[in-house]
Amino acid sequence: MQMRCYKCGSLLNSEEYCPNCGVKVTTYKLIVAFSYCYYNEGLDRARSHDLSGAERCLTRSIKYYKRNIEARNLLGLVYYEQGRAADALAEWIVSSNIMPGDNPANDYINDFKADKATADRMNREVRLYNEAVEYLQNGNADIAYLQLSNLIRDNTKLVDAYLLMAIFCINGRNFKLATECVKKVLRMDKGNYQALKYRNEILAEQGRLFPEEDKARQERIRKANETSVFAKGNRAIIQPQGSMQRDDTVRRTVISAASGVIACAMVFLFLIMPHQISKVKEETNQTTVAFGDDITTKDATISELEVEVQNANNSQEKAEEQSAKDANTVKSYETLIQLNDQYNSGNYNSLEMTKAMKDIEPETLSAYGRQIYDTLYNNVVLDSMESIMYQGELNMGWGQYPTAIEYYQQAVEIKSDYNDGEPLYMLAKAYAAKGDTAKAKETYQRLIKEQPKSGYVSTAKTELQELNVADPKGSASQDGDGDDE
Amino acid sequence: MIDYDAELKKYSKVSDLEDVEQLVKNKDLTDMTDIMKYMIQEKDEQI
Repeated sequence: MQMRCYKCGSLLNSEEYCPNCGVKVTTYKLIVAFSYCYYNEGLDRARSHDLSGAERCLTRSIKYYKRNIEARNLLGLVYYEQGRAADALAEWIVSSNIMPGDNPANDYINDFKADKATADRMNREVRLYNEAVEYLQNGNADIAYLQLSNLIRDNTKLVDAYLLMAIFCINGRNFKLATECVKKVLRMDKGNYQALKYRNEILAEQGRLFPEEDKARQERIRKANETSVFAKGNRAIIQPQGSMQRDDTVRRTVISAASGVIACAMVFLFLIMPHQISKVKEETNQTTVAFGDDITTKDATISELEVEVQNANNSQEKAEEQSAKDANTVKSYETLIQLNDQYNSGNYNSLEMTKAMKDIEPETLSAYGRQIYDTLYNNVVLDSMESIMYQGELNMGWGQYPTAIEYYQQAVEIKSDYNDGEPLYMLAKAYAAKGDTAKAKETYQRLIKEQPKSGYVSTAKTELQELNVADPKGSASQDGDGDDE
Repeated sequence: MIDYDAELKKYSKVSDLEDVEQLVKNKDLTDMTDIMKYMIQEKDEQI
C-alpha cells in the first residue's frame, strides 16, 4: 500500500516527515494503519460468513480513512450479499469517485447494470419486504405474512426478511418455521445478533412449553454420563459405573472351556502324538528308499516345469490386473455418462449423486472425461455438502446430537476440507455436546493435524485445551500446541 | 421473553435502487484524517 501525503499528495517513505513538504505524518500513518487493521478484521469475518461483524469492521475502517478503497469495495460486497443492493451500489459509486482509475468498483457497477434480471429481482424483494414491514407495524399481519412467505419461498438473500418472519412466528408460537428462518440467517450471516437472540428465545420457549420433555431430556443426558449398559440374554442391564457386582457368568464359562481345551491338547501332545509320530517315521523311511532313484531323474524336469509355471503365473497376474483396470475404466465412464445425463436434465438428488461419484476413478478418465467429472464434482458435491451441513446445524440446535453427528460424519467422509475444515470442527463440537469427550478430542486433533492452515485450528486448540483441563485422563499424550499455524 | 412490539419497531425499510442517488448525496464522508487536518489547521491559526 503506497501512502500519499495528506497535504501535498506526494508519496511517503518510512520517515516521520513528508519528503516533499516536510509536514509531520506520524499520526496520519497511524490512522491509516488502524483503518487497514479494521479492514483485515472485516475481511476475515467476511470470509467466514460473519457478515454483520464484517459490516461493523469495514464501516469503522472507512470512518478512519475514507480513501481505503479495498474496505469500501468489500463493504459494498457485504451489503450485496445481505440483499441490500442500493447500499452496495452507493458504496461502489463513492469508491469509483474517490479512485476513478484501476478500481474493481467499476467492474462491480458494470456487472450489476448488465445483470438486469438480478437487479430487478433484488429491487422487487426489497419492495415486498418494505411493504411487509409497513403492514406489520400497522397491524395487518395476514398480508405481511403472505409477503414474507413469498420472499422466503423464493430464497431471497435479504437477511432482514427472514428475521422479520422469525419474530412474527415466535410471537405466533410457530417455533418450527421460526427455527428454520433463524437457521437460514445464521448460515448466511454467522454473527447476526438478532438471529442468535431469537434462537435462544426459541430454545427457552421450547423448554418452557414442554418442561416434562425438556426435563426428561436433561435427565437422559445426565444418566448417560453416569451409568453403563450391558446385555444379558435379551435384557439390557443398567449398572452404575464403578459397581463391583458385575455378572461374571460369561467370563467363568469361557475360562472353564479354555482350561478343558488346553488339558485335552496336552494329553494329545504327550501321550498320543509320540506313538503316531514314530509309526509314520518308519513308513516314511521305507517309502523314501523305494522312490530314491525316481526323484533323482525327475529333479531336472521339475525345475524346468517350475520356471514355466512361474512365467505363466506372472503373465496371468498381469492379464488379470489389466482386465481389472479396464473393467474399472469402463465402469467409471458408464457411471460418469449416467450422472452427467441426470445433471443436465436437472432431475437428480445431490446426496445420491455424491455417493455414486465414489464409483468413478478420475485417473482412468481422458482429459475431456476429467473435465466433466470436475464440473459434476464442483457443482453437485458442494451442493450436497451445504445440505448436509445445514441438517447437522438444525439437529445441533434441537439438541439431537447423535443425529447431528451422523450428518457431520457424512460430510467428513465426502469432503473433510469443505469450507476450511468446518465438517471436522462441527463434528468435534457435536461429540463434545453429546458428552463423548474422547471422540471430541480425537476429532479436534485430526483437524489440527490434517488441516493446519484452517481458520478453525486456533479455536480447536483452545477447546481441546479446555477438554484436557476438564478431563485430564490421557491429556499427557495429546499435545494440541505442537504446530504453528 | 422478547417484547414483540418493541422488537418490531426496530425494523425499518431497506433502501431500493431508486434511493441510490439520495444515499450517495447523504453520505457523510468525514473521516479521522479530515478531523486531524482540521485540528492541525486550528492549531496553526492559533499560532
